[in-house]
Amino acid sequence: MALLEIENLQTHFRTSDGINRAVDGLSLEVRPSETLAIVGESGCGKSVTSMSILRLLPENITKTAGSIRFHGRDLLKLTESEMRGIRGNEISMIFQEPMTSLNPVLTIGRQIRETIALHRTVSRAEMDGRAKDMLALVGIPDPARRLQEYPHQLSGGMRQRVMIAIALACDPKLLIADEPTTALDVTIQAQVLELLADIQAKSKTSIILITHDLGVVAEIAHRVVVMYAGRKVEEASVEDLLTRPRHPYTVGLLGAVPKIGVGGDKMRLVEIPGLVPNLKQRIAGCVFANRCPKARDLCLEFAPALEQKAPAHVVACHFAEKEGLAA
Amino acid sequence: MLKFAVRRVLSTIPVMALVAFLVFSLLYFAPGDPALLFAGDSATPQQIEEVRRNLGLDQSFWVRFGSWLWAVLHGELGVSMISNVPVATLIRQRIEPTLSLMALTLVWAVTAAVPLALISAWKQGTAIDRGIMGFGVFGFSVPIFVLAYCLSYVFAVELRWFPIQGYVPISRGVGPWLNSLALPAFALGTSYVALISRIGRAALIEILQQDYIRTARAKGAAPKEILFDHALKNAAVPIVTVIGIGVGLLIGGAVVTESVFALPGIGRLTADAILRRDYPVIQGVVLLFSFTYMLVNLAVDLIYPLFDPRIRY
Ligand SMILES: Nc1ncnc2c1ncn2[C@@H]1O[C@H](COP(=O)(O)OP(=O)(O)O)[C@@H](O)[C@H]1O
Ligand SMILES: [Mg+2]
Repeated sequence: MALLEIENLQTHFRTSDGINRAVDGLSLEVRPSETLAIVGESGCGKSVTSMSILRLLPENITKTAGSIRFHGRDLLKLTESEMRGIRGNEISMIFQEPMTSLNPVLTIGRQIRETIALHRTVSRAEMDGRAKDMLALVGIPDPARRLQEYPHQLSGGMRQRVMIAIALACDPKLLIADEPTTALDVTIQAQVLELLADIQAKSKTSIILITHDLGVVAEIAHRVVVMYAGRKVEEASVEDLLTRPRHPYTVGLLGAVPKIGVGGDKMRLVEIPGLVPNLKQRIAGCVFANRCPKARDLCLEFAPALEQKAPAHVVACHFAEKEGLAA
Repeated sequence: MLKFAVRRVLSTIPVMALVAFLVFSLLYFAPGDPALLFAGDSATPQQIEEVRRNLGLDQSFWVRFGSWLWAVLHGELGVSMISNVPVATLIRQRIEPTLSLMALTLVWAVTAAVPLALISAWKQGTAIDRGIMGFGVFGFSVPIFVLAYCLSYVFAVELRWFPIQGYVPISRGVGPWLNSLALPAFALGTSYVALISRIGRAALIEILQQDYIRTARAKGAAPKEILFDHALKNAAVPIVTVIGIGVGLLIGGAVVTESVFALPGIGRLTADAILRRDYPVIQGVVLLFSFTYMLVNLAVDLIYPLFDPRIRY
């Protein structure tokens, strides 16, 4: 059974110039002990999806519909206080901005203990011990001293490790990492990803890894969901997706992976031409049609359904060829 | 820290010197000849001249400023021209009601303003928030003496819950002391509450949008923890700052409040001295007020590191 099942999630915002359908009919599942990557260009609804799961959305949402079942319970139907019992305890989250995500006026120790205190009844000494263990687990040297320090005394990479320590303090079943390495130096990025992979292997925590970087995906994910304009357009195992992408958008994204060490220039980024559609207007056909090199009239009129095109490989494209499936 | 403290104390010297200079000039350029007052109505011109020499009034501005400053630094603030009592003595006699009024006002105002700021920041944009901020505008724009007279009329004259005027020293019991100060402290503190809650609210609203608040929510923290453990602690620096700056407001307000409620404090002393042009007393209290204000803000600066570990001296 899946650990988390999102079905037909719709998260819409009220804005000054209309309703923004940031997430529009998204379905996905996360299995026990797997790392699911959600990829897509910035603005495609990845963060909104993760904030919908923890129900941490800003006040201008007009609608969250569908269901998000965690251990079979629909999170969208829980009371706020039941939800608080899940946040930081069964589902944790780390964010893109390690520099600003820790409270500047509280010690590291206090911030780790807080999570434990919110969800467990344990003594102060036990909490301290646990906090120290967590810092050691995420690879912070001299944890006893670090517990006394404040965030500004730590580097960005260290702060992201502290965030991970906080997130894991209560042994969550699911860790949502929203672009956890985007704000870090390349070398630090690799270390943090390695840490996440390590933790995954040891603790069997499921991870939703949100990123716009397919290089990151290749390193630690098991399965990938590709999002575009608030929808899922393709889903497959990592190998399958990286070697045989079937959606033209995914193909475009793969072209946009920075290729390190190719020719003279170190980083080459192939952008997908064209603009993301306006989410405030209803889109009749395929959401990607206006940028798609393969688009025809059909695409502008009829939205393609998500269809299984190969074993464990789902694509929303009229022209994705079927392969390896029994007729 | 010590180095900073010393530097910070030293930096107040030029300001204090400027204040002293202005205060002295006030007396120097004030109309009326002190020698005439001193010598009395029946004095001959020779006697007046002698008094002038004895008092050093024939010296130049700078010499007189120098000797005055020297005396002030030794705690001699001069002698009242009306009562002939040393200004320092007058201040000592009048300090208790004023200190009591200020302390009480400070305590209740901060106790009221911080929760108001928290509520209205948390409920930003709602009717509750607008209500609180509306009260703030009201509290800030109604002159203290109007509020004081209204309070006095309703709660002292009509309802008789509190004395209409007068001060009961704390030595005669805390209850009566509090009772005598309740209305004055309320009148004096209202605009202070408005100021602190307004600034506090603005600071809190900005803080509540920070990433670390989102982190706290993602940890499962409830509004209570988010507001008190996370937001308030971060808002402490701006709140403490405005409390310090607002002390200026309190000092000015105390003069009015003490007059309305006939409290025998420094404020009344000041008002009376101004009305009677008792310049040495005016000098003394202005110096005292400036000094207090500086001292409070010095203290505020020095306690910042307690609230924000990023501030290190
Ligand atoms: N509070 C909000 N109000 C209105 N629109 C929002 C809000 N938060 C996000 N959005 C919109 O939702 C869409 C998806 O945003 P997001 O999930 O942050 O993208 P990303 O995939 O880069 O994480 C964007 O169009 C963004 O403008
Ligand atoms: Mg995002």
